[in-house]
Amino acid sequence: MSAQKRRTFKIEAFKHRVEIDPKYAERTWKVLEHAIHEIYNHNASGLSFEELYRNAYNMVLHKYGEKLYSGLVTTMTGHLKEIAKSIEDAQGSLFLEELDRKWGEHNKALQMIRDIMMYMDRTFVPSSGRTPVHDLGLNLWRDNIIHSSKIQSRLLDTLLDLIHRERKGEVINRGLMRNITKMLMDLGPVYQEDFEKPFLEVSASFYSGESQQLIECCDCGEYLRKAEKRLSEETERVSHYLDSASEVKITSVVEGEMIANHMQRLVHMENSGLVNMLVDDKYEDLARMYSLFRRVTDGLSTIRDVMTAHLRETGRQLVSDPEKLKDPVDFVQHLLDEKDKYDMIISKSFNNDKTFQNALNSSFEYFINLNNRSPEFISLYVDDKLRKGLKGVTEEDVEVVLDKVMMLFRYLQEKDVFEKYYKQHLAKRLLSGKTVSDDVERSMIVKLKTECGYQFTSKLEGMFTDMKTSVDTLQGFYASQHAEIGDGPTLAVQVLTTGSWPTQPSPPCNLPPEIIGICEKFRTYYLGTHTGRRLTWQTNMGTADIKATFGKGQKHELNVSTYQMCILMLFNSAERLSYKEIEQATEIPASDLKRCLQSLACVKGKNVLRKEPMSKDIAEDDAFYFNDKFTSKFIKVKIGTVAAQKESEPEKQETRQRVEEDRKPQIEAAIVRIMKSRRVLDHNTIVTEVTSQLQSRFLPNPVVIKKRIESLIEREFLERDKADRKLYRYLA
Amino acid sequence: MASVPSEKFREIYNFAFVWAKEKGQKSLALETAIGMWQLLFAEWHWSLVDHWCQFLQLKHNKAISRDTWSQLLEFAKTIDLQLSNYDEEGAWPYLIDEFVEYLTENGIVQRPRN
Repeated sequence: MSAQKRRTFKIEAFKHRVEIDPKYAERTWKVLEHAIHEIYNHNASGLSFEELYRNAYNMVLHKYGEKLYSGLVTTMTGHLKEIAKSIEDAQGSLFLEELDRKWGEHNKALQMIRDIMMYMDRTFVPSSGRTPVHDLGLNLWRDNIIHSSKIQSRLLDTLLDLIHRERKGEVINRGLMRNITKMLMDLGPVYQEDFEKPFLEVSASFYSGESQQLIECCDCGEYLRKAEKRLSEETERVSHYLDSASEVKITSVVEGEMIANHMQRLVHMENSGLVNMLVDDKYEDLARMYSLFRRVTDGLSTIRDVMTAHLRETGRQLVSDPEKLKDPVDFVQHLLDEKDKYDMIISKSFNNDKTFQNALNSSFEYFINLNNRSPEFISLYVDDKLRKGLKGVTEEDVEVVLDKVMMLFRYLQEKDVFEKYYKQHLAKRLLSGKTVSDDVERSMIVKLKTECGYQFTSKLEGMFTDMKTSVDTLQGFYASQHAEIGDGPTLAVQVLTTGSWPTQPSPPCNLPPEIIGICEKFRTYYLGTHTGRRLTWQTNMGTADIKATFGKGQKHELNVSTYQMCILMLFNSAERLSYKEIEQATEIPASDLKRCLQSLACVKGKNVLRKEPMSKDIAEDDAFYFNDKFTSKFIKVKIGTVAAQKESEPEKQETRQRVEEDRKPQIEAAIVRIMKSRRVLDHNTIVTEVTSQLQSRFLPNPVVIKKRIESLIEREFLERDKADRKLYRYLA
Repeated sequence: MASVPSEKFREIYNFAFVWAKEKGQKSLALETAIGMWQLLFAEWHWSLVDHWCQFLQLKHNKAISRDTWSQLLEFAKTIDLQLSNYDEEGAWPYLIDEFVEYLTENGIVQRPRN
């Protein structure tokens, strides 16, 4: 090598062409052809891989790749045609077995052939754009075997028949099936085109037929069980011998045929449909329905709609049934039980689905508000639970119940009506000393405060304060009296702040002389320590315990209302009194007087007075006597009626009127608030805004809102816009 | 044939309210209001005026607010005698809403159903 120039080292080809004798090519090919025959005839063991590889290599190298390739195609095709014939000749169940066996052999052969032809695969095949050997082998198999006219439809029919039989309960050779389907999958789109598509069609008509049959003879629960079973069968089938991609396709066929197509009929099936399941708490069946219907479009909404309609209807019946409305506590208990029932169903069977919970809530809200006495009744229920004397109810139990009641409370549209009644009932409880515990009462107030805000409960808390203060006041009173009281009647006083307490003040009746003394002492004491205040005895709200001795010397302690005490004490100085005389002496209002006399003279077991005539009603010319012959197995006899009760019709009207009156200023305040910030608004927007502001307390009537607006216009808080009469302006 | 009342008429109409009511009162006594309406609507004819007065005597029997007074003219001006263009959401005073109800319930006007 010269030192000056550096040259790359070159190897040069022969300058003359090296040609192979075409006869040599032919000979080489024959060797290979023979080898292929041997391979297909299971005689491969006598072959030398190295020699065959070299032969194939040489052919390609010497530009005989084309000859090699086409020879290969011809030879393989020839063998495959023979194989096809042997498969076609197979009888009955041997058909699939033969196909499977030949497929296995073909693959083995193909492997060996490919190894031999590897050089061609890597060079000639890509450069000439031919199919590689392995794929070629598969294509030839597909074209000559699978798509052979005598095999193609027979194969499909056989497979579908086996599946059909398995669906009917027969046991089939799953391993063989798996091999066959795997073969189809290996052949590219053959699985989908030749098998899966017809499989799905046939399955659809199978399940269409089966579902028709089942729906005629099964009840809903049974049908769903069977549908569920079929679905899991199909999934299992796929896992054992089908392409996993087929799973979602076949399950959606089953879902469509068995569920989607029969949804309405199933849900509404008489005696066994959704409504029956709900009524009978069939948790398992319901859970199954939920999980099946979930898979199809509109499945869950179908269930939900039927459940909602049923709930609303039963709810509506419950709140309009006069029998169920007789006892308010019972009524509310029914509501709570119904809520519990559906909470359980949603949790056990409907997966705590929020949309179902919402449907439950909206249904309850709908029917609870259909009856405008619901607020009153719910308050009465709470009253019942908070009274002393409920046997076997612990404080924890009461708390649990109160939380459930709060759920019902949230559904009320007229929360202000509830507030009114709650106040009344609370007042009665406090004054008669009948609450389960102060703590539980306060906890209820806290719950209400959390729901509705401070204003809702501030007055209620005022009542508790008064009760507490009264205890201290009374102590102070007795301390100041020293021994002066002696034998006289014992006085217990609650001092109530007007405005915190719900009852309307009424003029006091005439108290018996035995009482007046100590009452005046208290008044003096109190006004001495609280100047500038006014005290009025609320004789319509008090109670008294009287010791009475009857004809045969039997002594009883009577627990009565203050009015009743005034009446009874009159009989200490008179044997007989007419209604008029009693009225004059006591100055008790007529309707109250009649009620008191009725409970003193006309109720069995409590008739400490005798009436002439013995009729049930009190007439103005009745006469009354002390009932010497009164007997009772109890030493202490309770006659007073201070417990909270369902209001009579006139009382109810009165309360409702007061509620309506209370709402007017609230509506006006809302209008003013809104207009102050928005300045100019059209009528409809005001109505919407007011409604939304007040909805936590009540649903304002649009006509009432309109009247309030007009009142505000008259009082010059608002005016109409000069240009557009539909707009209102705020007047600063 | 309904003609539109002039601007002058409107001024007179609205002034009439202020003039006819008692000093210190916010509203106009019903008797007086009815008398004024008879007078005014003789000048510019509104065929429903008699029904309006009857309705008030039957159902309302209280004094008339200023807003109701002035809005009545708007009503008479714009709403046709079949009440076909009366809109419940039209922010009319409630008395006028009740008057429309009264007219339809008693068959005095047949509202076209749409």
